[in-house]
Amino acid sequence: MRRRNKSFRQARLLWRLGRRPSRAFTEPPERPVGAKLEITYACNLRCGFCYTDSPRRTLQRTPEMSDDQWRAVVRESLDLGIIEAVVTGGEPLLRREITVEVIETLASAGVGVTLNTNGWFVDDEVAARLGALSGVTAHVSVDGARADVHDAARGVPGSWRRAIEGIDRLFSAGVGVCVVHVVTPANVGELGAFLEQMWTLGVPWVRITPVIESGAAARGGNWRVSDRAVQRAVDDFRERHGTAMRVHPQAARADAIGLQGRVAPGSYLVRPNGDVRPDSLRPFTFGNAVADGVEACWNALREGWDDERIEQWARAMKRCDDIPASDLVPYLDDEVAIGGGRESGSESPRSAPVPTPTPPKNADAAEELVEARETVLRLALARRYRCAPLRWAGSGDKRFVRLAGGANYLRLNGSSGLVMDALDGGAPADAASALADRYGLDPRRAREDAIAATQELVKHRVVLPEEARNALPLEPGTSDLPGLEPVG
Amino acid sequence: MGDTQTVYEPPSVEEIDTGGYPINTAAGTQTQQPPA
Repeated sequence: MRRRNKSFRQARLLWRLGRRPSRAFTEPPERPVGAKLEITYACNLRCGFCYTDSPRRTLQRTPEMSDDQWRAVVRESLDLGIIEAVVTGGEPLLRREITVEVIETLASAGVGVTLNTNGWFVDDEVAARLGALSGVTAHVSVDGARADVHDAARGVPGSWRRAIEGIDRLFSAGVGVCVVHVVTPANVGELGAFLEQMWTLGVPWVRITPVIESGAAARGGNWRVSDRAVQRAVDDFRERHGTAMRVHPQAARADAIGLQGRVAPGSYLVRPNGDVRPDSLRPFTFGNAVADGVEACWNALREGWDDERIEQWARAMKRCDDIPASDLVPYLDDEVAIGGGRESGSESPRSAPVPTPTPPKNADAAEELVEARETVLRLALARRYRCAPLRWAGSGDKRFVRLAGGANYLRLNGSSGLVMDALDGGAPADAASALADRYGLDPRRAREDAIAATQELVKHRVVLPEEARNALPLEPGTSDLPGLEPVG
Repeated sequence: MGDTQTVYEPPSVEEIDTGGYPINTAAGTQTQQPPA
């Protein structure tokens, strides 16, 4: 019988008080649920709030595992029985071939895979290869309703446009897209406009996350926003558009991090150098996947996850200020080896140089907003769709639709049926023309209603992007690992 | 112009819970008749 120490008893009490994530384990399972694979330290962007401190690592050219070593890690992870994986970085598509190959291997084995990306390197080939797989979702970061706001946050001009175009390519290829929006004082004022844009673009899921003050964010900066301001913008959006796009705001709660530091891990994280950690929160390693093998690392983690040093560290995280003030900041300081791990470089991470962000050109906010709206609208109106396998019956003002293989029926009114017909081989622009011709609507109203109807028809799986080979996923997947999303 | 429809209603898509009963599409209404 495994020794149950004070940490376990505390965790159990918290569980009973309803203060633990409902998906958490009380002890690490024999077979891990998932793996988070940080393919590379490097990133092409320079975000001041990067929780993995990738810009510093990029400048340092920190050594990382070879492609063959990653292939071995994936094989061992499949042997261990994982059912979910997050492929991330840095920017994983900087190592494009091995990243896509890893996703293909995992998805072909039936593992649900999430790719975290900034979208910059998503070209037609990447989108098509991911779209050919089932169970793959891309989480793409977009931090502004205007290009200049996003580009300032990301430190590289042009990054907003690349992200938006990447989202369009992925969605058009049939990849489920969840947009991850890091909310800061610089962009919270335009959160409503941002949500409108994502809705127009056809994004099914948006996750709003505060800055976690680890990594680069712990060096300083003003990152905090009012949860109430975020919730107000989300409520306003839901009032206007219902649930065609699901928006998940995540509250900023440092105590949740401390709480989760005492939760048994169900998964593991492999750093670019092979070191194995419980997750992206706890900066403790349990061996190295290359030197020790993944299974041995997982066993070390199962044995030592409630080590006194981890518990003490987690207990200290009570307020947001406690994270950057800690002597051991995740991703900023070198990890503590509990069950082994590789030595980091000799240079102190806190004093190491970081690349300077490139500010966007001075821009007129109103003009930038109009330009961003037009860009998003152009992409949304031009995307082509087709009907899913279905049968329908009824008449001009009402039709009943039955999706092949489904037991449910849908009822479409006349204008919705018209949009459905226009989207079968056409685009929302065609649907808008059909609405304008049939009902005499002005072009703007026709465009708005055509886009709204398209969202509903996609949500109900009546239509799908023309190039999609598979049905779109029903759920957005996770940016992190099961049981590890911060409580909020 | 095709079908004559003067009154515009914004597009709507509704899921129908049939409760296991057939949909009478001829009448254009959802009926609930005991299954044969």
